Amino acid sequence: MPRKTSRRTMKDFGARPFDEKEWGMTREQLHEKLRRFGENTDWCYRHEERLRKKYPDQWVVVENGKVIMADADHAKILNMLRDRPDGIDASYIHFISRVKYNLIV
Amino acid sequence: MAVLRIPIMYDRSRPPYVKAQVRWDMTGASASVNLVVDTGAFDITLSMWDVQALEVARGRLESSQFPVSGIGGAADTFVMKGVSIAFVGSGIQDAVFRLGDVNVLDDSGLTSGRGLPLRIPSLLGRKFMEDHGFILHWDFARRIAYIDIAEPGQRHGWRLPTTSGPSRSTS
Repeated sequence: MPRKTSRRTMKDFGARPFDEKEWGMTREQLHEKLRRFGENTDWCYRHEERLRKKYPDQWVVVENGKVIMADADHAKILNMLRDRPDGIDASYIHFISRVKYNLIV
Repeated sequence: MAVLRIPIMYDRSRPPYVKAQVRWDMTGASASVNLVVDTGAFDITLSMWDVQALEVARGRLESSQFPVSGIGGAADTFVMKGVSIAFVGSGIQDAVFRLGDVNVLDDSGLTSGRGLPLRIPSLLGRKFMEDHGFILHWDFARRIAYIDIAEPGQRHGWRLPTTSGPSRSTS
């Protein structure tokens, strides 16, 4: 027996199409940016134990499989990134705690 | 087939999260963030660390009248107005949601002076997922998880199961 359904549109859920002009990037650039951001995140998690020894209690910026900046001061990291032509772009900024902890949320 | 299927990054080494692009309408600045999928969190919340990447100074945010607390204690909470969030699917699809007020958690007071510095992540919480028709699929054994925003209807639009009757798990 078919399930009873109610027809809902994307608009009903408040979703809007991606407005390239509003966001200052094309849809392709959005997808590419998040793809690279995901890769940078993955790399950081895979190498976190090594990074913990090298950058304890510091913020690291990961790009293309390497740490390009590290500092204990988050604001300083952001300022250095903003000074670059590409800005923050798809960089992954992550705090490396000197002690590994499990997150309960 | 789902219209928009958002993959959840999920393995044992980290909390499950989705990637998103967050934009502050006031400045037009946007940044990529990871949102931990947390059905126990009452709503979507952004960490102050992620918000600062949007060129938002803490002084430009209003203090919230409703502090947020969790297992680790309470954090200073601010309200950010005019935030948009874009998700991309596993294919070429994407969707943008405009939010009214978003809670921003500042964990610097919570963690300062303690032996263990930590960072509260941004969270994809329950109310946001309820309001926007998110359907969570979770296969713990195989560590596969994803979000479907909606399913295609028979002729146009999308359809969702009605709330009457028992629901069946799809994972």
